[in-house]
Amino acid sequence: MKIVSVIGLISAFLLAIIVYLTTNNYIFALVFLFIFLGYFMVIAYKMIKKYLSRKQRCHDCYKFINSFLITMSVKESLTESFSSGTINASLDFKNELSELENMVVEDRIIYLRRYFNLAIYKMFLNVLNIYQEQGGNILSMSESLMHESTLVEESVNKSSNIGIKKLTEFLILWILTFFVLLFMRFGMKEFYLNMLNNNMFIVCLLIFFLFFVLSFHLFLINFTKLAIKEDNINEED
Amino acid sequence: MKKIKERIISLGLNLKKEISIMIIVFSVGILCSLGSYILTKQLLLLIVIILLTIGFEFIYINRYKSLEEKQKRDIENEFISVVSFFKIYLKNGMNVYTSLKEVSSFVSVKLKERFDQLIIDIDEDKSVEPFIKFAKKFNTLIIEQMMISIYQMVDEGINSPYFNQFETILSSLSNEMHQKNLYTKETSLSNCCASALIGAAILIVLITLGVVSVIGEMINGL
Repeated sequence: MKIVSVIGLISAFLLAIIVYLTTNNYIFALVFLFIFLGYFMVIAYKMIKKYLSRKQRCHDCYKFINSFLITMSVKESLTESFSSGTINASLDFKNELSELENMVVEDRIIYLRRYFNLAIYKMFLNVLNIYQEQGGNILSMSESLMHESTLVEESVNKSSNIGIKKLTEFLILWILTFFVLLFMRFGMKEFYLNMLNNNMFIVCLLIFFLFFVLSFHLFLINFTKLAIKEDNINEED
Repeated sequence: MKKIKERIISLGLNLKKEISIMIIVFSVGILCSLGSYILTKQLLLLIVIILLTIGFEFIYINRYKSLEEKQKRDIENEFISVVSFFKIYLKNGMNVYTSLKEVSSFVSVKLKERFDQLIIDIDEDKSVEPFIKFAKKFNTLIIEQMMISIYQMVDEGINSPYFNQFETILSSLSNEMHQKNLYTKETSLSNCCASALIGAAILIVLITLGVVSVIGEMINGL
């Protein structure tokens, strides 16, 4: 997440520099520096953090369910299945697991429902419960569950790829737009400085920069959306 | 106005908050336009700010329609996800009634109301009617077909020949839903990318304004 903060900081400074270069007014530059920095650190940072965390939890949940069920079908041991499910855990997941070391395996598996907060995990708990009560072949019992979890994993991956592709497009288009503005500023220097004497021109220029911030926010809202069914455990509490 | 009020309430939004936002934005827009006119004496600026305010109000009111469509789509998507879980319960030996009760714990408040009503209706009426009544709320033929096949599985569970029909419908709906979600995300992100083009359009207006004003000054200077 440090990278995200650094990117936010650099973007805010770049925007402030562009505002300064195009308006010749350091007050406007400072205002936009604080607007973008404030927006990024207060709103955007939280949105990105939440999105990355949810995405990582989806991956962890998928890996955990699959490894757990496969090991369970072979070894029929909760402890070994749990260990197998957590081998490739992410850093966050490992940190969460380290806090559960004092619990017995059954409790750890139940507690993870709160961590993953995904409907698919609740389903997994139900299948596991039925297996423990009735026995049978866990792989055939969880066939539909594994299919559903694969669909969820694929959906998260595809959604992420689409997001990155569109983010690149978005940035390229805006960079080109800013490039046009900067070209005007330096290519037709005298003419541009004359235009800056017009208040209307400055107002429109500021609207343009505000529009950039707004469109960035709208992009981020759509970028960080994950259409994954969540568990209602927090609502139940 | 009455229709807008009903829409806001049916969407579960705060009526007072929504109306306050509209009034505040409109007042601020008018004050800004008057203020800028008094300070700059430019009629064009006054018109631009008033048009922007009206544009905002128009977009703000029109968003209720898209919110309604989104809500409808979300409920449909949720229903399809929930039915996938319903199938897992059925496959693990539970009957239709218990599975419906179990999956109702997964759903959001809006869908839970419908599920609870369905369970109450099933208790009172053992015919297909409660299932059709439930499906009718979605306005989708395929969901109606699915509910009918669920009704047909009431007695025999997954051993019913209708289970295959149910599975086929669910599978196609589930894949369609995932595809549709990805498509929606791609479309909404593409729309956001188009904002850069709107930005470029603002720049063109800006350049035109600048050029016209500079030329105007030059002519007046001569």
